[in-house]
Amino acid sequence: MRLLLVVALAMMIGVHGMSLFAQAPQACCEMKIVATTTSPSALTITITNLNQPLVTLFKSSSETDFRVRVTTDAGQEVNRTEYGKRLLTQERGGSRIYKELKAGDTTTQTLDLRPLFELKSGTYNVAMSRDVFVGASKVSLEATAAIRIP
Amino acid sequence: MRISQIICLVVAAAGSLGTPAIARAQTPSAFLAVQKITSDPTTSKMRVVVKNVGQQKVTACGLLASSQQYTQEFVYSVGMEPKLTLSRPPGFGGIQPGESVELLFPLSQGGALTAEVNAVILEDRTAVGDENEIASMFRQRLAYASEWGRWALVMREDPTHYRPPAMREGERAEMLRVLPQDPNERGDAATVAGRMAARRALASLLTQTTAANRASLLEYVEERAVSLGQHAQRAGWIASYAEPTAVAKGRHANVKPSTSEVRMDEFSCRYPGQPLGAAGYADILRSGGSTQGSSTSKAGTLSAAATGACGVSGPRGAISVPTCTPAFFTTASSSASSATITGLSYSYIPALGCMIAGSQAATTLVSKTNVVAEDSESCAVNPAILFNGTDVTNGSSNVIIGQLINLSVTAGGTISTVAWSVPGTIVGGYTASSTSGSTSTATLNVTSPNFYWVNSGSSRTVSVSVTLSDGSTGSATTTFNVVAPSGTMSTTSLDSTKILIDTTCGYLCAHYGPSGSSGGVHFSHTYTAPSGYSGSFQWVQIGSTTQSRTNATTHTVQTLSPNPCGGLDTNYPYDTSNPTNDSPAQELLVGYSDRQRSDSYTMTLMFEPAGTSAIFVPIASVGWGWAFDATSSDGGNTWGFASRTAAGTLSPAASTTFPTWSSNLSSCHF
Repeated sequence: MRLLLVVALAMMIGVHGMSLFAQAPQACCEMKIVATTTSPSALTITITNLNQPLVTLFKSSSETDFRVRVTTDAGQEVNRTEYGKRLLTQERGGSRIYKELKAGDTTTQTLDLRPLFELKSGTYNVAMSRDVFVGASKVSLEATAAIRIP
Repeated sequence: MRISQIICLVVAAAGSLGTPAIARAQTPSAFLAVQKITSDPTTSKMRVVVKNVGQQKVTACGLLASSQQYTQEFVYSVGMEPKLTLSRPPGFGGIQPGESVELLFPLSQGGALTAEVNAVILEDRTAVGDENEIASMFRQRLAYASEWGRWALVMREDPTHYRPPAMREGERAEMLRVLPQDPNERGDAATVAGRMAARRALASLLTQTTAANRASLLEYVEERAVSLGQHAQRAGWIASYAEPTAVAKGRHANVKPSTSEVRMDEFSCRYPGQPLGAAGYADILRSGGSTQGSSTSKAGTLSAAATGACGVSGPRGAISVPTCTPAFFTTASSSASSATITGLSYSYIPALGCMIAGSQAATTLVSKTNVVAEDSESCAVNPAILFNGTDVTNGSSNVIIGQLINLSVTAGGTISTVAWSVPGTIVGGYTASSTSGSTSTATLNVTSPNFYWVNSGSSRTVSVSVTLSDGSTGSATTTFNVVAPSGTMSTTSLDSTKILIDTTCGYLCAHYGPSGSSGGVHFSHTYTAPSGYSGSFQWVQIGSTTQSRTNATTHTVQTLSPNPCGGLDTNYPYDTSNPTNDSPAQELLVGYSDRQRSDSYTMTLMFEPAGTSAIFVPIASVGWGWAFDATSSDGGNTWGFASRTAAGTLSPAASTTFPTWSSNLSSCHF
């Protein structure tokens, strides 16, 4: 029901290609997903420290920083591309930017789903999560979105 | 004993435009022999009979006569008229093989008479003899022809405009008054002699011309001027080769004045709207720039035909100069690449009624700078350099690194070749994505080059040289002051004790930092855009990684393919924040007994100025790396370090090196 409401809202505001963002109610932070204007499969993810003195996170590659699940309108999970599958199994590593977010601070990353998932024309539901840290405590942020691939 | 140099010039027939002069290993007397020398004290004349003993027509000769009284150059010339072959007097148009000619010269008083031919110019334009003498003869010939050319312009009439006989007679009288004078006594003796010989010949023609044959005279003068002009241009060119190495070693330069450089004064009009016609020329008083002293005088001529119209309502009209003929002069230095000429134009005579016959000549300043020396006979042009469509020739512009420099050159014609010279470090462009980053080389042989400066510098002189489709050449310059952001880039790094193995990555990993609020390596900068400019900064990191892992069961060692594997470090740009950091990590998997990784990176700070079509250019960079060797004795469940290497002390520095790549480190895998 909630998802339908958001879809309806997105259609009302007429955002091409996508529309919807949602956010799990983590106490520390807010994670938003917004479609970019350049591609319906490209998402901008914004994380905001709502109230904590300090939230930290690592930014490396968006493709590995986020855990992503894409389903069709019918609830069927969308297959990953070969590249998308390899990302799940290969060793993680490489450069990381250590980011500190004070209360109110925001950081943004972008992620294109098309290289990762076999997306055809249609509407999809996207669920994303990523870890941030409040002190030594790991907090998993979650958000969902609906995208429409023309 | 003094030497009397006598030059006899028998102007050549115009038909032959043969090969350039080549010094022959023969003496002039093998072509033209002195047969008899007599003197006549009553007339103070010396008669020298010379005979062509060679196989070609001799078109000019030089005689060296001994005298204790004085040194002097003489010119004797006869016309060239190929139609008069059968009835020609001896020597007319040249001395034919086997033909003898008596030459008459002033007699040197008190000296024993001796004379020898020291130089000849043959019909095929080759020359034999004293190189100085030959050069003088060519200069004289050039001056002679040039003078005919300018007076042909002066005498030209517009047949559509009637002028009463009284006016024509007034013009003729004015010409006869001016012709015997040489108001511009400059140049070497041979040039002056050539010029005055032509004037005397023209004065003689005008004197003998009646009103009935005036039209024929004008036609003859014009035809002959054309023939002589063709001949003399070749002769002038050849003269540069005939000149001995010990004398002027300059290069021939050609000048084409622009309208603004040859300024003609206004002329009185008889009625509004009346067409104007006039011809003018300017002798070059001085040629050469810093490489040539002002005392060196090299004659040259600029001549132009001009038309205009009287003002519709005003009493006076102005004439502009739409065309020109090349002017030749020689710089003193063979290495001279530019020259400055100044001079006066004179003897403007009206060809149509707008200028009252007998008016005094107008004086016009001719000034041209930065003439590119050429060995061709083509005109020089004055290109204009445009920067973003604005003429900046000889001007100065302020720009910033990364700004699109859009230049173009115009030269008043179709440009066939163009070459730009741009100091400083430049690129033609920079394109970057997560998969590739590269620069392009600026193309500088096009009329509208685009490029970007990468480093700063003041008073950078950009020059362009063009050649038009008609062979004309020219060059132009402009100056740029290129500014860049100022500041410093700095780094700090953690020591190797901050290379740890734990699960803070969210999985078991070896990682370099962070510690507290510091990443493994910390990058920051204080750069700001120069006053009056704005822009943005970004970090770009490229690198190379060498990795291996050993299977705990099979002990098989795997390496990356390729190993090392290089490219962009994951994202373009790496970051846009200041400061930024890198805390690299490596996941440690179960099933392996050894894991090694050694990375080296270059972090580059880049700047892009605000504005259309600007690009990011490098500002500063630093190289750094880290490495570890982790081992596990329990199949990868627990790990310890065999070795670990931190970045150490880093030395960021200003840089103009673009980060380039053709792959991405994220695609490196076993």
